[in-house]
Amino acid sequence: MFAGRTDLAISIRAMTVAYQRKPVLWEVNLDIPTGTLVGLVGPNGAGKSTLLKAILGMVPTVSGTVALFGQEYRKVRSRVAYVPQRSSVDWDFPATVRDVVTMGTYGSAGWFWPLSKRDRNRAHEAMEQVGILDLASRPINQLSGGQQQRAFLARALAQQADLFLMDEPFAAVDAATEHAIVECLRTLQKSGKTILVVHHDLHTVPEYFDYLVLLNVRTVAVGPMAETFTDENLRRTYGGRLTILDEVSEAIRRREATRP
Amino acid sequence: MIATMIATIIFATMMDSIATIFTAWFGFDYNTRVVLAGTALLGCAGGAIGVLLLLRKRALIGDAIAHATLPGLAISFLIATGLQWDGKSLWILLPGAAATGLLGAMTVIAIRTFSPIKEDAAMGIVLSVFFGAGIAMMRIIQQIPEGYAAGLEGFIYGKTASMRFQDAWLIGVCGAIIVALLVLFRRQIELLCFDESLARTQGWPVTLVDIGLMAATTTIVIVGLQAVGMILIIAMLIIPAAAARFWTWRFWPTLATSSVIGCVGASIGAMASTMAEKVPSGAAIVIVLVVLFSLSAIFGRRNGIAWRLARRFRQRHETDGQHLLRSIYEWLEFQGKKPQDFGQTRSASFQLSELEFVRNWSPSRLARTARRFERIGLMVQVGRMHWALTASGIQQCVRAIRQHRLLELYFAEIANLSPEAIDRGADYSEHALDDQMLAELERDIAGASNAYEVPESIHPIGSREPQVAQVGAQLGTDHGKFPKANQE
Repeated sequence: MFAGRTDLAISIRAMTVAYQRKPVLWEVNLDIPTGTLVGLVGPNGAGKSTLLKAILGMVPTVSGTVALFGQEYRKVRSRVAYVPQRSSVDWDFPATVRDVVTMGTYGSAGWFWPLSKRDRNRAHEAMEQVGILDLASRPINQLSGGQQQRAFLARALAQQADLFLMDEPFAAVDAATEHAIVECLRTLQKSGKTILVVHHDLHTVPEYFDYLVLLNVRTVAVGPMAETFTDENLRRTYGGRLTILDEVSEAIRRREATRP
Repeated sequence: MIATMIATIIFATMMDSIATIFTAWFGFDYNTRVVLAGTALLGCAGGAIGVLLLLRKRALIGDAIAHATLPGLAISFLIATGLQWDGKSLWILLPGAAATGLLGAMTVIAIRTFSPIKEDAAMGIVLSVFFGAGIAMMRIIQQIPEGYAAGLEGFIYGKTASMRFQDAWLIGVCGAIIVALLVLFRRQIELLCFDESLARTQGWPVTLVDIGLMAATTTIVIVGLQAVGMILIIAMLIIPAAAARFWTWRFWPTLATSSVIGCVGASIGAMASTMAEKVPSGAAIVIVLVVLFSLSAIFGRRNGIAWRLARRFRQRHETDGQHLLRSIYEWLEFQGKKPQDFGQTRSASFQLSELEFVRNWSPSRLARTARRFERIGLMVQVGRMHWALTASGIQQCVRAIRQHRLLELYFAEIANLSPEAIDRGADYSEHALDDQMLAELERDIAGASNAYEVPESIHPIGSREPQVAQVGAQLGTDHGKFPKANQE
């Protein structure tokens, strides 16, 4: 049923999502090439989180198609890792960091049998990669916000996916964690993975990502950072809201000032 | 599914061996043993399911189901009696109970979804309406001549004594099956409880697992009616789970602990009810569970009150010790008799009363800490009222003062605070310093200077308490002459 362009990690055609008839996403069209580090940016209520959930089939779509690596999501499930917002889970859950990271491997571990050594090693490596190996035995309710976010990232890494969908991984984390996560994402990108990140801070957008999706219920603009991160596009995305506009033009100005 | 069957058989065998243990210990007859074993397994399953309900924040739905079973029981009893069947057979009563129980749960969900009323209010409405209807029907049953509702009372408060042999088997087998299913689907259930979205993206049938969980809850409630009673069955789900959280911070051990607590509570309570016919087993079970809960809350390894108090006490002890050591150093330094951690096996002597000059403690607190120091060999008495530090005392003393002053210097550098504020800040935070942080401080602050050298104080010694002036005066010292210690 799909045209099967495997060089596109995500390909969305005319997708509409509605909550009780109010459209949250409207006629969204989106192509993300593989191997890109993508920022998904838009004002509050633009449907950024909903877009991720719609890609994963967690919210029903009214119309449109989603193809991941040229196939239906169901068929490539194991190649996709989702990092939900940190606040979406109860961190009082009785588990250690290792337990949470290991959950990433459950998908490939089968129904009943105990986890294999290989699965445990994957969790171990993932923790090492994001620098939380020393926290492995710590109960998760003793983690700081940044450490929680790293644990979530490690859990996604343990899934060994090719496409990562991350919902606001930089929300309320410390500078060190933000830096560590960005480094980690760049490493992933170098090994050919595709990463789509919901992001809020316009100032850091051009610095962190090389591909940009501007979303405000519709997709306003999609493309490489240099062509897409323009005054005009941002104005259309955040249209009418003066304070944000100021912020945006400041970001543009800074970006142009730092451009070599 | 074969595995499930095998597990069931294993548990059935276990039940039999539990029953044997009960005979060996208490000399109960076989029937009673089966009743106890069945209740014990029910406790096990209830404890485990309770953890899941608690983690899914669905604790009270069990209560709604339980209370909503009463009209179902009454209706099926009436129908069965009318048809001249055995009205007290579980095979007739329990399906009726399950029907209205589930109807109650669904009403809660419907009210929550389709009206502005929140879940807790919906729960209150459904619970009372269904239970009230049930009580009314029970009255009617008691008034009809053939209606011997005596057996039905047991469902409200729980009465293991009225349980029949086959009832106990039904309960035990249900409990065992639920435990076996939990073991089998442990990972899927763990995912569902912690992060549903992950479970979904990994492709697990989340809705199915969730329905299974609700089915298990309903089953526990329904088969547990006879043993615990509909009013108190919620306790068998929630109390063990709440108690278990004081013992462990991992998922699987929490389930196991909760199971064990539920098992112990259920079997002891059931035993009490079997031996004394008048005691409702539900009440007995709840009392045992509450005792276990209190013990957990006090002695629980994870967050027990006893450990917390002990830790606080120990910390205060340590803090006091460090403060006294520092005071001794400061006093001796002020007198020009600084303890040297090289070549000195005894420091210059001092009196405890003199220390009040630098540390405003009550004499008894000073004496208490001093005695502790003597016991662990940091201090010796060298004459009437006179004390001196031993070699190891000197070492610890120098270490304590170094920590404090390094921190002070650090604070002085990063925050523009008054010397008194810096002293207080260092007072609070120095006890949390570990060796690694200390090493960092030494590198950053002390720089190239001798690693054993004690930095000079950045504030005048003895000025930290307003009372010091008076103490100084009592001691006959002139506090006006306090050295304005080295502020380059």
